[in-house]
Amino acid sequence: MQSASAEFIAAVAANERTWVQPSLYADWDQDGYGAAGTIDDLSAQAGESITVTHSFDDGRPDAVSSSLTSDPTGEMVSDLTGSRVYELQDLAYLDYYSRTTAGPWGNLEVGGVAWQRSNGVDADFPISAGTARILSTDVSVLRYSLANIGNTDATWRTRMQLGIGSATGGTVSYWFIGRGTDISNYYTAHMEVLTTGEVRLRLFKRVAGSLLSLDSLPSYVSAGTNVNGDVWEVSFTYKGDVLTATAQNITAASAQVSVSGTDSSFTTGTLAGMGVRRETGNTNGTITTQYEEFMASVPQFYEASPRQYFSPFNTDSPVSAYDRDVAPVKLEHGLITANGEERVRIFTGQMANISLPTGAVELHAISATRFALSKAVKPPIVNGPKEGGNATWLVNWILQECGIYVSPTPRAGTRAWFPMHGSLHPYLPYGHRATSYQYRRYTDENVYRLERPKFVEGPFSLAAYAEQPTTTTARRVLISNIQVTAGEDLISQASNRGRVEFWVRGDAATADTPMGPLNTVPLVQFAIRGPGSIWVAAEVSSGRTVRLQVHDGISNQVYNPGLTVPTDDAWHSVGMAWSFDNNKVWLYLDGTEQSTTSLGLNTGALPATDELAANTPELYSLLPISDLYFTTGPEANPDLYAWIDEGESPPTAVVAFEDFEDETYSVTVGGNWFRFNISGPDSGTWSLRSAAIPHSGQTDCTITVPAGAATVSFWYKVSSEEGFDYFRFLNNGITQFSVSGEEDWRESAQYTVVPGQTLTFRYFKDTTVVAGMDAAFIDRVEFRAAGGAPVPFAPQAVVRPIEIEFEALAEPLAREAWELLSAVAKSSLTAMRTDELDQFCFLPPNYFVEAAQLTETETVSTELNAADPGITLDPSKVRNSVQVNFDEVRIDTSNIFVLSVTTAIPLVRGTSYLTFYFPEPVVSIDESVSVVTAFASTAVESVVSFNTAEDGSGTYLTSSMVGVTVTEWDAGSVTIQFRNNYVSTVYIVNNAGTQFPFLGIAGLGAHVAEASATTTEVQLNRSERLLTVSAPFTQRRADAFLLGSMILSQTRQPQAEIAIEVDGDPRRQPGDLVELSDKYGTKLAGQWRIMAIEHRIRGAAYTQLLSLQGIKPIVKWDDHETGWEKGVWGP
Amino acid sequence: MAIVDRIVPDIYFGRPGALETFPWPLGGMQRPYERQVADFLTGSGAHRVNKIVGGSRLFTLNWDNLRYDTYARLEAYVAGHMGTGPFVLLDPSAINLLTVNQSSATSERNSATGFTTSATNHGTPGSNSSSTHIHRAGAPRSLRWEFTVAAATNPLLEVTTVYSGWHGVPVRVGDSYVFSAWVKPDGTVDGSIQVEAKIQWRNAAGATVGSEASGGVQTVTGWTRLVATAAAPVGAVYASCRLVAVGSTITTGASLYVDELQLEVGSAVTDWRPGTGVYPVSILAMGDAAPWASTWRTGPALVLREVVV
Repeated sequence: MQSASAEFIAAVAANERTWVQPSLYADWDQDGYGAAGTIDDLSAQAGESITVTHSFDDGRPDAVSSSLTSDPTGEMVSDLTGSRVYELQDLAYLDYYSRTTAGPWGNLEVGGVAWQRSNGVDADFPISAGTARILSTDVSVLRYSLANIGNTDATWRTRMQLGIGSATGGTVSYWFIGRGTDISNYYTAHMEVLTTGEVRLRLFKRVAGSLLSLDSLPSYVSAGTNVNGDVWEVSFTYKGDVLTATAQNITAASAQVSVSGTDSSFTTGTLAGMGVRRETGNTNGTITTQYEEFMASVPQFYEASPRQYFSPFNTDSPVSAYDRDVAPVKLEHGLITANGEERVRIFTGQMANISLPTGAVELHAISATRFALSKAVKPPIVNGPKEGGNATWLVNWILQECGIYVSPTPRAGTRAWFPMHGSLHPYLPYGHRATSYQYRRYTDENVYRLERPKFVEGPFSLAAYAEQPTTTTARRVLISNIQVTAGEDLISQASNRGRVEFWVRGDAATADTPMGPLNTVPLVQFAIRGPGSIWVAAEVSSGRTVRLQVHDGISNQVYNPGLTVPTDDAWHSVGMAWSFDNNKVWLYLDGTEQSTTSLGLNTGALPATDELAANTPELYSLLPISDLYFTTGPEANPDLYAWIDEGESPPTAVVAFEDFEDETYSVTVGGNWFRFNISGPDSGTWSLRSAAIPHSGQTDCTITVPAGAATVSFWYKVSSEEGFDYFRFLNNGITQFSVSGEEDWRESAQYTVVPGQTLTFRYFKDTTVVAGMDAAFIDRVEFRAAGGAPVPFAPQAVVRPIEIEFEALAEPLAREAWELLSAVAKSSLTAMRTDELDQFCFLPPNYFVEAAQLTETETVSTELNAADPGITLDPSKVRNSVQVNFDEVRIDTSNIFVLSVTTAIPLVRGTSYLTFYFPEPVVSIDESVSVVTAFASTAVESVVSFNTAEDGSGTYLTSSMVGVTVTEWDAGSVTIQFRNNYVSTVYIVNNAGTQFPFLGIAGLGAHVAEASATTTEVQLNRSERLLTVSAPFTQRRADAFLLGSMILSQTRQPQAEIAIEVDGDPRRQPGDLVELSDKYGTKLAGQWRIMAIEHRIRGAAYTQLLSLQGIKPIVKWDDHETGWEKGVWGP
Repeated sequence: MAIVDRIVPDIYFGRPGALETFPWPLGGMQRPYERQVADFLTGSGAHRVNKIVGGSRLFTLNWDNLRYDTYARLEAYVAGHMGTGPFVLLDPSAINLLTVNQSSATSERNSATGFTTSATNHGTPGSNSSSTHIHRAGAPRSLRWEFTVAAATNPLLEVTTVYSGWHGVPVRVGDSYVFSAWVKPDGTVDGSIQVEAKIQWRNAAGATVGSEASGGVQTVTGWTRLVATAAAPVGAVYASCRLVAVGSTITTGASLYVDELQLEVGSAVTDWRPGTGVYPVSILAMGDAAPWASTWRTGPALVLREVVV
């Protein structure tokens, strides 16, 4: 049952309840729906700032952010039945007067139209220092500057200083003109400064040169008084026949005053602007009026009419042709409690359809998680006996393929991820096959045998079990030759950062291990070995401390500050990180980080580039271990990225950004790099390029970290002689990375920076030879503020471990994720659904016998049913024999020919690629195919023979003439490259007899055989009734019998199901155990489990149709009082 | 005997800011306050009653006869000559213009829906259930205006609009309105707080018009009725009711309790009556008949439904 407050429970249990309207929330701010904070904000009113945004998959911007010019009109759209029109201002014309001119004013900076002066001379309209001026030298002469803003409706505003304090001799009027057709016809708002200093605001219209009052108005409103130098903000809005002017003395912080009126004399003019007139009698002398900015906005209309907006046939709609099934939808129901209104979620999903029947728009929604699982996935090949094969691993793998994580999401830069949720096989990288897995059971010192790996409950799901209970016995996880995804070097001069994080269980372990004495063999070790004596080992030492050993090729450095994994049988998060470049190492245990920069690491002895063959990592553990993440690159830096145990860092605000598109930089840039016109990483055309330098030269660009910045990232491009001429980035003098050769635009990682320190971008060359453009480029330098605390990981699905095991994952074809999950669920009688929060739940039978699920949540009395309970009890469904049909899988224990070609295949000269399909799925093959010319060997290995004659009677060719390479293979096929360097066509053939295939691929096959397991319960009073079920994922006979037993236990007697309509309680969920009281003497009383709920909300009538299934009582062994026999044998 | 100009009040109908005067429907006005209620019959024949919070009135205005000129002004609304609506009906027979939750000081929803403050230092509106702080005998709730941080200079509690397109309760220019509320300090943290009732006038765009009407700052130590009375000035379209306190008289942690809020038409405060709000109305129907004289309409009945969102 979903949680709710005590007040809610009291309210829902009361005999009189007041429900609030169910809340249906659809977030239109998703692909194709847009309207962030605007149509969402249904309560926005005139003057409030809102943003209309449409966010599209392709990143097409479509956003207007401004104030509503008037109240939205029409009906609300929250129920999708009405139509509501929002009118926003689009700031289309702007002038900050940032140019200098003796006059006239020239063109607006945004909008580009020209100011037109009237009266006076050009010199009366100068601009300088961000201020435009009008000099009024003459009395009774209006001097003004107008611009054609192209719209009859507009709002424009300006900031200004009046050039006087109070008027002397006569009034001075400041005109604000709108909807002008020419200099004799327009509306105008006047701010009049009287000789008393009072400022009045009023509206006029000028018709054929005559200034007329607007009849509908009070004569004026007083806006306060003016002191010379006061800054005023004035606006003039004219929309339709409604005119409104506002004025506010900003300096005096006085209240804004407004005057409004209506008039319909002008409907066509588009001129707007300002003017000044010294009225008759004024003796102020020349008045210099200063205007600081001019902003004119024209109305934009957004109609939130669902019919128009969503109609698939309306190609004018901004969402036309875009996905329409993505807006999140939530449905909540609630009631008035003692603490006010409280709601409980009933459904979470995403929009599936909006249909447009007559009268209303219908919103259909489905589970978003179900949608996310509509994805084709192809599991990697996993050898169950060797790597472990609990199906929980597969379930979690499928989920993470669809973006749903039950353990922490790997961050960018993660090169390998071993969740160990039932198999040692990694989730990352996908599909590799070279990694070696061993699960060793030691019986004596250094004597072991390989076993099928064991797994136990881990911190998130299952975890690999290992142990070292005595010095002569142990279970040890060993994963060697670990393949990693593509990325930067593991250990080289160019790149040598790394980070390992995992969880271990604090099991007790003896000091000495079966593999060696104390301090020689750690309990857990993740090691990367470079050439020679270069290596890094991240460890839990035999003394249980978190330890890092780093050999830089010169000396062995050990960092062991004493973080000790307790002996408490609890799970602990462990992390280690290192950076040779920064001479820094970090250790982490359960939220405590220790680091040092005093190890004296140096990169001098490291190889120039990676020597991959030598340094693939290796992991072993003598403690239960789970969820190992290996990261390189900037993300390996704990100063920059939180430990994965701590969570993900939230996004941060941009402090400064420079894209070099103009010569004014937003950050302090030094050095001799220069702006260069080159197509960059964005739509701009300018970047910063390194200066030309001679051989052995060096050129730097420096950027000072601005105040408030915590990180920096940038784009870079390098075109240089590979391996000799380098681009290097230094943060406060410390090298972060170096790049050489041809590297097209690439975004750097984020680096931690300190305000005031210097970033150096360096290009330097060796003594000879240049290549490419002989330059480095940077662009889009972005400084961001510090982020908040990391957001801890929360599982996105509830997956309880299941017990069925697989022998092999060898799927030749991809299958839909949901279908694959369903196959596993069916084979284990697992309940699979998405809950009211749209969280995927995978709940095997053992979940329902846990104590929490055996605690009843409520009593649904038949007193409260709206209709008689519908009882279904179908004795014809009783079965006492269950046959489970399944595909039994067996994996070869030694190599066989999984592919044997005995048909001659001609190969023309040159290179050919041929794909062969395996007759049965394979889990491994011998990729090294030998070209054989003699046929005496009986070893099963991959072989091929080439002969010049089609029947094999010609000459056998050696590998000097022909070549063969396996380029790709999976469980179902292998693709082989053949190279024929002979003078003519050759044939894949031999005449050595049937024991030698022409082409033989050796490997381990997964042999699938249809099988069945029958479980029968003898019941004397019933003849045998068989139920045949297919278990689409079951691979082992033991699992088939288990499934059969479970089904039999439920079918050997009539299974009661009832449907009952009851008074609504939004907290109810499927899976809840409820107590049913019996009003009618039907003997329904007892515990039932809710299998499904249908909510029926019609106004104040809220009922639920429950499907209930009977469950057996929980009993104690041989305790007749609790009904042992009934509990075992059923009612 | 004095001549009585008018024995029944007018009603006002139209758009906020452009309300037209119509004669009182002498044929009577039905205005049931309809609330969705469901009766859940249990297995033993008992009943559980479910209600949806809030309700809506269905107005049926019956005129015996109307001159065609008057009728035509109504017909313009019905037929669409005045746009699509929604419109507003100011019904002089409903005294208290505030909503149920507002006039009952949170008793309807047990929450401060319908009240707002702009920031924490303006206090936080909430719902109180302690009878010590409820003015109406037997009522379940009063509004609690709580100051958990140091109060602003003039903390402001505003009674919010019922409809997003409006900026207060629609009013008629020239009519006098009275906003009243009973208030008292908590008496524990603070025994004396200065506060005043105010009415702010707003135009169609929400901008303030004229000056706020105030009943004057009062020092309240026990239940005190605050009253603000003023005529809607030229340009006023809406009235926004508010309580403004003097922050320097409020001890941090203190609360001010408010009950029996009322906005009424008139020049003097009257006893509190339950409010059901002034909501936008949509026209459902209007029926009429033309008698022998074409300049008359017989028995027009205008049917309006409150739009409650």
